Amino acid sequence: MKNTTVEASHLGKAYGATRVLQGLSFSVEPGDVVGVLGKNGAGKTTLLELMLGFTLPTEGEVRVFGHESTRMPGAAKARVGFVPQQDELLDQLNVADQIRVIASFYKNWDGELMTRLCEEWGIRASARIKSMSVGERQKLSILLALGHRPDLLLLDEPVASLDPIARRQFLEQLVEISSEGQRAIIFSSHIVSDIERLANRIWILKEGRLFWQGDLDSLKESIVRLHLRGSIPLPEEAGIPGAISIRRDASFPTAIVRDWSDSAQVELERRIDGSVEVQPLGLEEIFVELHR
Amino acid sequence: MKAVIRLVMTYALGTRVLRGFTIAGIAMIVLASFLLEYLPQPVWMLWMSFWGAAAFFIGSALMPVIFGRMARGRLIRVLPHGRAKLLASVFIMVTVVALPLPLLELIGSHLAMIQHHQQELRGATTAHIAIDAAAMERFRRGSIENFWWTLTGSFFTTVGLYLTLWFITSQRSIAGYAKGLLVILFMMYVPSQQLRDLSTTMRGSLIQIATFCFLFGAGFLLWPRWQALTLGWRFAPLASIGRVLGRPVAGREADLVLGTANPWLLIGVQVVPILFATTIGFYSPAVWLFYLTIFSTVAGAIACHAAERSRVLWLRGGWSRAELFVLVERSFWRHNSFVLGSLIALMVGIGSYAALPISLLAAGVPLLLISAVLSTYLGLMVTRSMRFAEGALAVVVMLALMAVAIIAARSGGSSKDIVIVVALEAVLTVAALALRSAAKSRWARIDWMLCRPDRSLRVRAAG
Repeated sequence: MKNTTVEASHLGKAYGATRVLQGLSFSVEPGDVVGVLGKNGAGKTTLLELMLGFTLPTEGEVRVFGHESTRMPGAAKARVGFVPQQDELLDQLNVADQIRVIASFYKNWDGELMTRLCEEWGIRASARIKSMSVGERQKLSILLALGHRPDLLLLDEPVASLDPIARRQFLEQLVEISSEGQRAIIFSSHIVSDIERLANRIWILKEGRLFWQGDLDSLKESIVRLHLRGSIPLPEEAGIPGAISIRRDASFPTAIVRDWSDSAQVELERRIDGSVEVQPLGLEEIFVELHR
Repeated sequence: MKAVIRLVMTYALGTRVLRGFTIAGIAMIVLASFLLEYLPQPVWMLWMSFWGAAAFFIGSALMPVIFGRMARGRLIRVLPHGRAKLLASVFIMVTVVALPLPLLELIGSHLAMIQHHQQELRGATTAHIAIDAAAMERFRRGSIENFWWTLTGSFFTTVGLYLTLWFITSQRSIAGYAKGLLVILFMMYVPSQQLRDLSTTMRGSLIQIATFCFLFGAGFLLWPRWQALTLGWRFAPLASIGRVLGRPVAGREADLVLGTANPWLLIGVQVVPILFATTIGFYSPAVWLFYLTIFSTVAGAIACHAAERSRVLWLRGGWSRAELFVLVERSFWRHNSFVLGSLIALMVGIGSYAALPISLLAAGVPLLLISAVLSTYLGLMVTRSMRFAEGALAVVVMLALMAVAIIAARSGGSSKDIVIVVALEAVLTVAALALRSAAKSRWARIDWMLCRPDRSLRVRAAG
């Protein structure tokens, strides 16, 4: 039997007349590290909230470990770790007490892992949470989501307030966790380089829809920039198959296309009586071009 | 169960100061119950158990704060059975805090019964107070019923006090104080109803507690689902009320930032409970002066958020720290004068209606004024978060005000009594001036990096 971690079909969410997400279908398997990309307001947080059952979908459904996300039993929740965008630490406590409170909810809490990570990340057990910096709080938030070695880890903008060293440590930790095989990680971030480095699957949200879902290599192969160098100018009305955008302002037109193939290239070269140079794009460029 | 026990332990022992209160409270209660068997019970010993229970309650003051923070957060919904465990921990904590006084009462009755029995066996009981077996059984049953009756009252009083604490500490706005006062209003009504009807039985008591727990628990557990369902719903009447209350206040933007633009909300939530209290027969001068003095400190207490709120004024306006203090002080006095005026008017009105002694009014009006001044400058002294020193000072000031209120209320109107009250009020006036000077000096060297709203409030404001 297929052991899918998260599965969604035709998932949608609307607030009144505003449709935030629509028609999302996807599945996440153990071992997947999914990076969710999207502009502000694209629906990244809403998508994570739907997966965690915080909010009800207005269409479709999402299942986590086979359970409807809004009705996850305790045993399923024990397999989920979550790092919210804004930490929810208890200011009045110190780090050790905060860890003890969260640990008490889990049967399989790994105290040794916590101690090791606290040392590696430079978090003092006696530090009072109220006096910690934003970055330190975020680190602690992340640690608290890792302590029970969850099978599904959801992180909403986890590195936004971390310094470069802490970010690197966090990414290394995430790599270590994801390499354990049975764990799925879904994280949203604005820092495209982190997603590029870590994720083996990319979701790009655009205007409430899942514009792209697949692995990074396929994405890079699929979306490319074309430099057209031909003797016949590209007519205004002439389209390029799969074109996302075309720029005609330079001496040679350029285009960003999706699902580019060798046959399409041959056909285009024939039409412009010239050559078409195909330039692969980095994830950041793809993201920017998609939203231009 | 592990999580529930951990939460209960955290509520009671979470910080060093509160741990001290909890341990002291438990020690006093245990000592009081131990001494019950060996010593006769003078008033000071009864007070010891009361102060023990009060210290235990203060020691668990983290409960509403942690409960509020976790209940409002999203993380709790991911923790296995998170909300159910949080709820169970709260019920256990409330019961544990509510239990000592009824339990002491039960132990006391039981010991009295045993001692009487032993005296009877020794033949030490004189004939006219000898109690037969049937009377003894009635006494035993009565004391058990009394235990349940006291437990119900104690349970609901504890719940009410925690709710008040939660509203005041979590919202830190006039709306928060208003909700807290509404809870107090409810508490004033319900116990008085119980006083009228002393027929509560064990069954009735348990039904009351169980009904409350069921309703609160069901509401709490179903709340996320309700919230998710109703997201995006708009209730037109509420929106229009919001528009009326939130109408623009051009030219008084600083008041708006400081939360002093509209005194009528606070006046409303103070006047309504007081008027309500008049309908349930509170005509004791001591009670009136006591309550009005407490109420007059509320307006001033709001000033403890003045520094963190005026951070934005300092960042955007052209005021120096000293000028800002003057601006804030003026704004608070404009606001407080309305509130204080309404309280004084109430005092005079109720005093005339209830025919309270004129000496009470003569002593009471300055006392209200002084308590508002003291609490305002105590609030303005908070230029970082509330720390131990400010907390301790606030407790001392409150106790001093309460003491003067009681002395004034009990004074027989003799010149000697009046001189004492006037002297005490003069001392408090000097203290108020000292607090003003301290507040002014603190504002002159305010560190805006340390003086910022609580993180949880910032997050909520942003959300």
